[in-house]
Amino acid sequence: MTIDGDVLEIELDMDLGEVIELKKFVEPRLEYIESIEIVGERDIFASSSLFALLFSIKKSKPEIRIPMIDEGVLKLAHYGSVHWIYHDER
Amino acid sequence: MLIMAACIGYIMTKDEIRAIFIEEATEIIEKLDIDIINYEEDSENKELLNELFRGVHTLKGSANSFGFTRLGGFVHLFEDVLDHYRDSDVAVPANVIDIFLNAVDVIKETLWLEVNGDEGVPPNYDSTLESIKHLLENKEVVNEFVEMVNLAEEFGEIDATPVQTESVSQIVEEATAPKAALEIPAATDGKLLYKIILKLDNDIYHRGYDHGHFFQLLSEKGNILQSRWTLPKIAKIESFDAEVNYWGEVELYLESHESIASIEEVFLFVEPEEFSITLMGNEESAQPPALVETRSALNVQTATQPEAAPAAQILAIEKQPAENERIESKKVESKTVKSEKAEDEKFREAPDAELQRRKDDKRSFVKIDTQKLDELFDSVGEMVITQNFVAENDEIKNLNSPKLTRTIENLSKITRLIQNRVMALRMVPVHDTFDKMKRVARDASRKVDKDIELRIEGEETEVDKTMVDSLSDPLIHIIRNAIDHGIEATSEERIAQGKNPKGRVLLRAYHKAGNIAIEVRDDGRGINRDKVYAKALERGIIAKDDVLSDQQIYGLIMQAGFSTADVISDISGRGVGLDVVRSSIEKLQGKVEIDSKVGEGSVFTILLPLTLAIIDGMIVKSAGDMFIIPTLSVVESFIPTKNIVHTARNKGEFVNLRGEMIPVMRLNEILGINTNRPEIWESTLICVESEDGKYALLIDDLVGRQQVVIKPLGKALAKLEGIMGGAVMGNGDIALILNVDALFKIKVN
Repeated sequence: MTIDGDVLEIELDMDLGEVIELKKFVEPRLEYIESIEIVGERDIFASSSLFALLFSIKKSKPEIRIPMIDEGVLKLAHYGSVHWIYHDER
Repeated sequence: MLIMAACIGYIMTKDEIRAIFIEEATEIIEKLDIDIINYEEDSENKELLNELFRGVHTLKGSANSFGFTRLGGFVHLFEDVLDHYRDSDVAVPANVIDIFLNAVDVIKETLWLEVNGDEGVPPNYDSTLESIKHLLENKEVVNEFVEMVNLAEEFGEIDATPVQTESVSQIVEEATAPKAALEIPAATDGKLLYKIILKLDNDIYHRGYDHGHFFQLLSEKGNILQSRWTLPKIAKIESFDAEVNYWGEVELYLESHESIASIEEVFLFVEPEEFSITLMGNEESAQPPALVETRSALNVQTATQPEAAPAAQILAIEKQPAENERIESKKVESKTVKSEKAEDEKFREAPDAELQRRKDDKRSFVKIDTQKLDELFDSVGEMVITQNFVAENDEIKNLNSPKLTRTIENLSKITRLIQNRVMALRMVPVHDTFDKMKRVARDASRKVDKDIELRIEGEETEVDKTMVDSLSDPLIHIIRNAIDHGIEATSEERIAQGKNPKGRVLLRAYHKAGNIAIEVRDDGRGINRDKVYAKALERGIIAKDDVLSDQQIYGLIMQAGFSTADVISDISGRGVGLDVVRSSIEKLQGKVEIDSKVGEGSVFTILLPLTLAIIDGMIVKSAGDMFIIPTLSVVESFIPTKNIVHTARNKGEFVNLRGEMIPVMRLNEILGINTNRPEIWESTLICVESEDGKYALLIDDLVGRQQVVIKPLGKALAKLEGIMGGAVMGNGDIALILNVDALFKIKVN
């Protein structure tokens, strides 16, 4: 995980412990993070908690750019295409 | 779920797991009754409904993991109804409470059918299931209507026309449309295509699982082509908990050469309701068949969902409907939110709370096999005996060593402390047994159509575990008897007597003179002493010249076959109930006392020793041997003067104790030890109370009072009449514990 100006770069192999840390990192900085991008290998993911956190971030700051969510699909080499069906009230 | 947790630590045999399941299921089912009754009394308390739901949810999981599909299927529907009510602002109506209670009865019976491997279902299974289904059907109509009214109000359409059923199904279809719009991938190279649905509980991360974990395992079985992740609700970041699974259903498509059984291995440690595998084009399912049927019946959305449609974006988050579609889309979205939310929370909140409860339980309690507890108690008993032996040893005493004496005294104190602490391990509150009586009182009052309130006091009073288990039946009989015969037939009758129209029954536990007293008090019509006396006379239970106290006369109603009821109902009045009460309590070395006042009510008091393992006894000597008389049976001891001793021709010896003629029985003669006949006025008499009345036991000497550990007699002595056990005394001698009821019968016979 790195932060480059207002872009937060994360990797898909973050395990649950790392997701917990990511949440702690992002929460106080959400105001100035403009975009969250996935970097590194796009073959597998480690924890579904990461995806949930990204949706939580999107709900908290709808204008934030998260391509994985905005595009509605995430393509992974080993796990095929991942689609989101999000019903939460906004 | 609990069973799975048990499996993680070490490998258990199937029988062990099954035994745990039966024990846990029985506990849960018993609590369901209590929770329903408690909820009926306090319908504002939604936590009670949640508690009920959690119990049913756990039961469902366990039942399905054992392949108990009749139980699992039934409980599944029951869970849905409970889920509806806990999610709704509507209080559960009285008729629905009846359905709930019937459902618990069916669950109880179905469990035992499943456990015993019997075919079929209990008699009320189908009718109760129908009632539940009916509730569910009504629920959907009501929900849709409320939903549409709310939406109409939201968009200014206050004139909320009732919604037609066609529009309901339309909404369902449209709600699932985004998901259905995605094209199903096709398998390549002759591989099989599986649709796998994961619906993992929200505690999966705590259980060491993750969607990622299953994706990885599945990718080892074949190629994951596509997955669709449903997120019903997500918290904002400030309240987001990374260790909670927010994901609802995750549907994935896997192409593989593996069989369905092989795919299923991935989910070996997951609860059956947390996943399903379908072989596409074949519809073979790895889910228990009954569950599939149940789910189909319940969830039309799933069953009728179109599998293929033109490809389209499925992300609902950014979807902005056109202005003219706005209201309809809103309806669709709202409906989806509502149904998904309900379904999601159903699988979400309960396990969360359950997880917490489980954690708390682990911290506070340890389950121990009662046999191990008994063994520990036996060992402590041996230690007490050995310690007494040391304390009473003449050789040690003769050493005259103050230091040694002090050490032995300390040892004695510590031994008693350990004994008391071990004793405390066996003690459990009567709370659960008392709670069960609420259902008994409810059912009985409904049957006889009387308005009755059962009040409970002293439920924290602790009783030996063995006794608690045996207390239920006698209490059921007494409470039913109080409701059926004690309380007046009509409210008008009560009002005419200046009483509250609602009959009152008080169930109370308390300590009384070193014993436990459990009292059932009613404010009904009381027992008609003269009627009881006349009936007993008519039936030859007593003779005309028998002099009986009021308590003895009331005690007659517990004789086998005795009933003064004018009308025999199906609750009581057959003269068997109270007889069973008496014999059950006597088996626990206790007794039942009855007191009553006509027009004011009756009190049945069950007196029990604190424990069955230790007895408080009077130690007496007869013909050189030591005996113990349970203190509970002892009224008083005395040395009579010559002028109160009488002999009646052919009737034996008596003492006139303050105007009451009490028969004298010589212990040495009853037990056939010897034929010595000392004068009564030169001997000690112990007045005891037996089920047949008072009598005076003639002994040589009264040694004292002591608590002793009861030791069962060996097989050879087990049938010795008049003796209920043995105890090892401090000097190593054995003393026999007398059964005063049996002694009386020996003498009479």
